[in-house]
Amino acid sequence: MIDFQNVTKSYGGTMAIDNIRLSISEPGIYCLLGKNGAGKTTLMKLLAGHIVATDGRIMVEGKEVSPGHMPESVNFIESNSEQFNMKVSALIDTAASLQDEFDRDFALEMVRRFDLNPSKRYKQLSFGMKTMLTTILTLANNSRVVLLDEPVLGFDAIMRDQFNTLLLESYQAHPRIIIVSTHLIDEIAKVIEKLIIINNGKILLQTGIEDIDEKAYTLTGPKDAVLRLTKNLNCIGSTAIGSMVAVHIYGDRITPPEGIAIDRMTLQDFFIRIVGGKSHE
Amino acid sequence: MNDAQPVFQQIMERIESDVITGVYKTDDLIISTTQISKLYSVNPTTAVKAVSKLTDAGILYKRRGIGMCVAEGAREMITKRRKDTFLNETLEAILRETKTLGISIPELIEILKEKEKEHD
Repeated sequence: MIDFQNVTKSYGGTMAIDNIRLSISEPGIYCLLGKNGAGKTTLMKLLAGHIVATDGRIMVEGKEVSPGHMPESVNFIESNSEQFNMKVSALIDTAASLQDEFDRDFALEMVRRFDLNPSKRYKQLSFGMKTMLTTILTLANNSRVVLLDEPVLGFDAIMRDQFNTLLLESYQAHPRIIIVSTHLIDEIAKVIEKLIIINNGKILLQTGIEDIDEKAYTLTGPKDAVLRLTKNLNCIGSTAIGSMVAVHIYGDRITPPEGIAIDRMTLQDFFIRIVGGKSHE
Repeated sequence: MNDAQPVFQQIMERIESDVITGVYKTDDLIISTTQISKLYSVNPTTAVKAVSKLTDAGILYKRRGIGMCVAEGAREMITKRRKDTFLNETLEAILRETKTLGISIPELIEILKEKEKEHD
């Protein structure tokens, strides 16, 4: 369905995307994680055909994507689209009339559940409300690929919770490829199925979320014993406090001996370790 | 949810507990994976994984178009496994702890007998 074939995107001398190979074929909620500037937005813009790759090819359903050929099956709205200066209700009506796959009822349901005033103009909306409208217009589209770039930026905790519920409902009603980028990692961890971690323009990891539940863990205990135990394990970081050490592992689970504690890592902890990759002494 | 075990294992254990305590009997329909994910506020994928592992283990079986049900003999299977765990791992841990705290075995037996009386 989606295939990045050795794709590079550079701006001036900066490599935003560095020779990426990435395939996505199954429907699912995919979470794209990366630090600021890792290349998340660039990846989405490339996939939607909003920008052109410096090198390599991006294929969607067997056809090459470019600004001259924007894939119809991919729905992506860049944040802060100021050209939208219409009333919320008019924007939804416009989207519904332009896009066959747009679910007007679902969009209006989201407006209601987010308590968004439909008679306000886009420019009158607060920052969080603007994000919300972009999110609604994107998610209400049942096209085969939906890209959500920071869909909860500026949302309060209640709105974010509501968004996660709606995301799941939308996906269950219309299983398709939904790619979400966010920095609120542990919140999104409750709904996503797959994980793509991008760092310095490269794909660092692509795996199922259940993999993290089982394979990302921390062993804590006396330094010598823990270091001996973890010698042959895949360590992704460690923290030493006096004579004690906590070593973070990504690999098969082990049963530690007495005196060494084992703890599951949250997705956020895991992300920080694998991207930061530094030990703190 | 505790922080030590993977979430899918904890969900498996909760379903198993419901089977051995008789909340679910043989051929009873268990709650759906959607309900599990809502009830425990966990990822639906994790709920699916827990249920499919229980199915692989022969604890649950699928009734087409209806859902997942408790398999014949599931209770005995879970009880046996938990008993093994208790007799080996749990008792080992108790023994170690009594040694650390300086409680003798005869003393421990007396305490257990007292506790049993309180329960009755």
